[in-house]
Amino acid sequence: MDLRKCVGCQTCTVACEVENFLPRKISWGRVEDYEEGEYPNVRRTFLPMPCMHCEEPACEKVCPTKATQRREDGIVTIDYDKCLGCRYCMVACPYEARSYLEVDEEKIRWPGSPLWKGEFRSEPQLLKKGVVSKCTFCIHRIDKAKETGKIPGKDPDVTPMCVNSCVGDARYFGDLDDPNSEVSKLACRKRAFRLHEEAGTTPSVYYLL
Amino acid sequence: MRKQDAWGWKIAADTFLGGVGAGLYASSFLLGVVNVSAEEFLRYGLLLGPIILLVGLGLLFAELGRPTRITRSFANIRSSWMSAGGVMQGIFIICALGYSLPMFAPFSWLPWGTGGIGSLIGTIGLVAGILLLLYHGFLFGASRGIPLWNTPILQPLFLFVGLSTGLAALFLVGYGIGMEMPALKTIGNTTLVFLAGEGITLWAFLTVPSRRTYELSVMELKTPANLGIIGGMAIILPAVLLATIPPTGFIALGILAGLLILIGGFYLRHIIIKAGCYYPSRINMP
Repeated sequence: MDLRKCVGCQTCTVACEVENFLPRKISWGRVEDYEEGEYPNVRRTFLPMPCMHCEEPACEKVCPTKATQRREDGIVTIDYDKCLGCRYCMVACPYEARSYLEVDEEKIRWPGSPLWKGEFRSEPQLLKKGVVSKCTFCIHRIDKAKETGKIPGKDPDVTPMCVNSCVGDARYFGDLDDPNSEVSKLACRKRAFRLHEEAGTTPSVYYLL
Repeated sequence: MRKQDAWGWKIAADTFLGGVGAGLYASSFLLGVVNVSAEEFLRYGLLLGPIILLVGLGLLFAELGRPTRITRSFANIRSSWMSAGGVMQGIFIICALGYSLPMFAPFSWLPWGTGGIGSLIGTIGLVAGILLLLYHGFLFGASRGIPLWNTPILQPLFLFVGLSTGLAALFLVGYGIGMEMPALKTIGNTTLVFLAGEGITLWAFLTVPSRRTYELSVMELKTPANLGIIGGMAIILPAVLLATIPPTGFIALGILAGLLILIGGFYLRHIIIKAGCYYPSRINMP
């Protein structure tokens, strides 16, 4: 995430909600918006806060049902059919990346919108009442890459929707294990840093100052 | 900094009742071992301990989004304290009930009785109970997202709070069923020791900030009203009341002390949960 390019338009937040058919009050990709300084030296800062898909996810360790798992490609997922709704993962995550769905999804869909149809989304990703959810890096798009041979981060149809929709081109996506990928090179820059490293979760999301 | 709202009063009540239940059982068992000449009365404490814990579990059950999946909660014993705690609670309930029930006439037919195998069951229950008192500290301590909870001081703090609230409950139960004065005095004096331990660990919890976020969260606990309740009302005042019993012989002071310890014990857990804040999602742009 290049913070110097982020303009705080929240297009990524909305694109994520539309792409993942998120019900109202659930957001997987919020952007923090805050002011610093005093008039006349004031500046606004925008800080996108998706799930960091940590290498040592605190959420996975505390999950009593093993509903939260880290895949081989590094994406941290939640199996909604196993989630107990205890919310232990929510207090374990230093990034507040998780949301809890308290009421039936049917009751909180945007009324009248043609988008809110369960058939767009396949099980087990269909959100259910009483479970915790979070950003999946648009896993359904990334998984298509394996079938089509396309490259996430380069080909838009296998790239997370927040990256595709960013008007400031502030988001980059790719394989951090590939030293020649654009994201690996960006992550090695001096202005690259990770958020709350003191929590010891080794996040996979890098910010550029 | 944003306050966590994932866990609320039901979790506070669950951990409080779990602490009281395990503390009540452990203190009743240990007082029976050191022979305070009140075995006849201590059996009520041994039985009430697991029952109180079960009530707490009922509240936890109500807090779950998908309570029908509770059996899955034992799936991650290796790394999740919640799974490990579930096993500990299961062992505690079975052993504590297994040990205490044969002490009552309707269950005297149970083959293991109170000696031999019965004692072994009771001792396993005691170990599970003490582990449970520590468990709550580990449960919160594993929450890396909340710096206030992510501290090793919570384990001894919850241990002492559990033991003092358990003894306070035992005092109230003992008084209610007509326990003799010497036994009540022994319970009162033991409670004083654990209150001292609670006071020291609480002081350490409030004054040893490890991180900036921790420091900011602790500031909420340090408001005069909160300090008055968790320090003054729940520790100092009951300690003074309990210390006054031996010279005056006025046992009713112990009742008041017991009630204050219980109320303060719940409030302490509740305020620790309520004051939990996430890391501030802020950076300083150059």
